[in-house]
Amino acid sequence: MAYSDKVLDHYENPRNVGSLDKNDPHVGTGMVGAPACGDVMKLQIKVSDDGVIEDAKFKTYGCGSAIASSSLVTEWLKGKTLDQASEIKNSAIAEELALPPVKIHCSVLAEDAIKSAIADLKSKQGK
Amino acid sequence: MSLNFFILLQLPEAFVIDLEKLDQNYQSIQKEIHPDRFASFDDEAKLESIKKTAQVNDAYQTLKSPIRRAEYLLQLNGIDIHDEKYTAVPQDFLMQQMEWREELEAEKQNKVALEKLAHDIQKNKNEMMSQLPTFFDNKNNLNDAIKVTRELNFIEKIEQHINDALIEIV
Repeated sequence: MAYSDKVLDHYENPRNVGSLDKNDPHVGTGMVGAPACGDVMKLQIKVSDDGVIEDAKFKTYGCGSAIASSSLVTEWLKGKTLDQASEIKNSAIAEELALPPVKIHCSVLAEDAIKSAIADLKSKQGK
Repeated sequence: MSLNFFILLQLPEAFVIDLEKLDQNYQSIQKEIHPDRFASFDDEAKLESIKKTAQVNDAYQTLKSPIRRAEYLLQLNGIDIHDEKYTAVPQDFLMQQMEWREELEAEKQNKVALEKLAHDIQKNKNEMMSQLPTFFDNKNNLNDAIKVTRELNFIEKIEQHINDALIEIV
């Protein structure tokens, strides 16, 4: 199956690969996995005191589409508030990357990773 | 609707099955329905024999592998292990997966390290597999069976990646 140019670009030059300190109270860590394909995705966000995402990092072990989906969302997340971030939908990710139907689940994984990171941050900050 | 694989291979519907019996039943059914035996029959009978053979092969492959058998049993209970909407795998398990993946990446060229990693994972897998009979025995534990079966899918995946890496070295 052929990947779209945008998927290839993110796959070959992934943005924001890496880790943030998961013990930092300003950092939220999201971990999700897809049992169907065994993909594992970690997404971390660093949020300022006024609730804006300053930094985002990811680490994904999976197919090109899963890597591209998580790379793309790290770009999208920077500068967004948590409320804006939680509005990112998998359909927008899939559309931007022109994912074929069989790879839609990769964008679902990325959306759920954002939600998981936000939930982790909120539980850490006792909100 | 396809026929229940357990009925097809004449075995009781359970996680623990008699593997020797599975082989025997498979072979005798295979002989009975083999397309060669229908060479002088009409097209409909030939086609039926081919379809049946494919079905029996599918049933055999599914029941022979413990993980596929577990998935199939869950499927019979209306649970699709491969539901793509499900991503909430327990965090500690995912953390472990991430560590193994990182180790695999770091030691890609190191045969000894990879073999040790494969060994550790195998040990983990065996422990998980040994829990399945009890989980399937008791219908109240079906949620545990779902959890372990899902997790075994991740384990299979990393095992496959380690094997690929080992082949690259040799």
